[in-house]
Amino acid sequence: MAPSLAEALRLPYLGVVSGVSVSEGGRKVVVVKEFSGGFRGEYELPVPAVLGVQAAEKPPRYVPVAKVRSAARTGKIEIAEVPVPFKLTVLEVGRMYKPKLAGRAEMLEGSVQDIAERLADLLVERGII
Amino acid sequence: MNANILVLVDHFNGALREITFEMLGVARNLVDTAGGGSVQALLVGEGTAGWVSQLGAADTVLLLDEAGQELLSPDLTLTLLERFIEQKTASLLMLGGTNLTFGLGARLAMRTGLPLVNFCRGVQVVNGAIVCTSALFGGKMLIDVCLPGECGILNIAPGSFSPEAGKVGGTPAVREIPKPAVEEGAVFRRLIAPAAGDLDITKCEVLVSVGRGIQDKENLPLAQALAEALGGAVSASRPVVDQGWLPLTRQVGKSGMTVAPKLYLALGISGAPEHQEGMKDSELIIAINTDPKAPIFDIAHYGATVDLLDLMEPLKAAVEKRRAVAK
Repeated sequence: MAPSLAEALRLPYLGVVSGVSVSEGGRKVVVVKEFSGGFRGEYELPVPAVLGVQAAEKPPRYVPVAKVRSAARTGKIEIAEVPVPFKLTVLEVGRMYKPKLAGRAEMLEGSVQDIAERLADLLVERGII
Repeated sequence: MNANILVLVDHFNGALREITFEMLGVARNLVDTAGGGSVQALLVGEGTAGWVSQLGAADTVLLLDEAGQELLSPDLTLTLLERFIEQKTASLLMLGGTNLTFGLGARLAMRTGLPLVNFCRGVQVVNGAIVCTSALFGGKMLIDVCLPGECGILNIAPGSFSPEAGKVGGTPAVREIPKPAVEEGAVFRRLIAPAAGDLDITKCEVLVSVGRGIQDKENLPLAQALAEALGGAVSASRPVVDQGWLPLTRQVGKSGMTVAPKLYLALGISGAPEHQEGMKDSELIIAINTDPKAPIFDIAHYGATVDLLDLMEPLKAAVEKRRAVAK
């Protein structure tokens, strides 16, 4: 969604972002993007820009349903027709289905103690301990 | 039917990534099956010309190997890809579904009007048309879509295809391309390496990996004690690292480390695709999760639906007992 929004608004974009700080008196932002292997990249973007945020230090709290209902009762939604600002090519959908599982874990049953003993035996058999 | 495919070579920190060979392999197979077309590989980055001989599955390598150019500059890559589509250099584009190229496909689709298939796990020719399989809802559902006119952009999910099929040596034709003028939005400044000094979990033979099910930082010493009894180390899934309970160097998954230990003991980890990407090649996967429908059980060899907080101490004791007997 974020990269499409950035293109529709013709704004700079960066995704998988896990850190942002303001620079140059608010004219730019310094952004940290996550790569694999624990590596991160530091980028600079002019604002306004669209950022795809990977993770928040404090996960968002969901709004209680009662408050959503309250807002739905009092809020007013205006509907306006707008032209589609870009051309769309529609994919032909064939079918939607659940994936076939390539395999499934052998499930160990019994008490916690039974399972602990079985796992320990398994690790011995495999030469891990 | 002709399949003219352009593969964006995915590389990071001085090495080609496996997803590049996955894409080249599936592209080569598609062209051979279609009976016509070509595979071109776009290689962008300073000092990358030496990799051309590893890209033998491609017919042609489009090379931008100028000083100062980095694949890490998304706007440069985007400009190049957009130009190749406009010039009809290729009609089907393959990108690796990695953090590096995240967002390129969607932006390109908006610019060019080409259809985008995200999380693509399958590509085949059916009755003369290219049919792609895309994963939805974190892989819980699959959907088959047909590319109109054999044109489109595919974000290939890492691990979906064998990389061996794309590991073909050879001497593909090389076409050097000039650096385009780019109105850069996101300017790359520097690469930040993981904090030094911590353990390298990619070298551990045994990993006790904890997820959201560990519930509290106070419970981590139990996992640490179990890991020590097993002769291994503690790693984690994303939620644990996001909470700040363990450093990023211990994170397994798409944004973290890719590991393949002899034993991966997943405790309280649901097994999201992003996590599986980092540990699916482990020799022995044992998963403990109270949710019997957790996706981690789909790739684990053994599993149990008990509470990890109840299991850790008895398992540690059982392991220590067997070690004592062995002495």
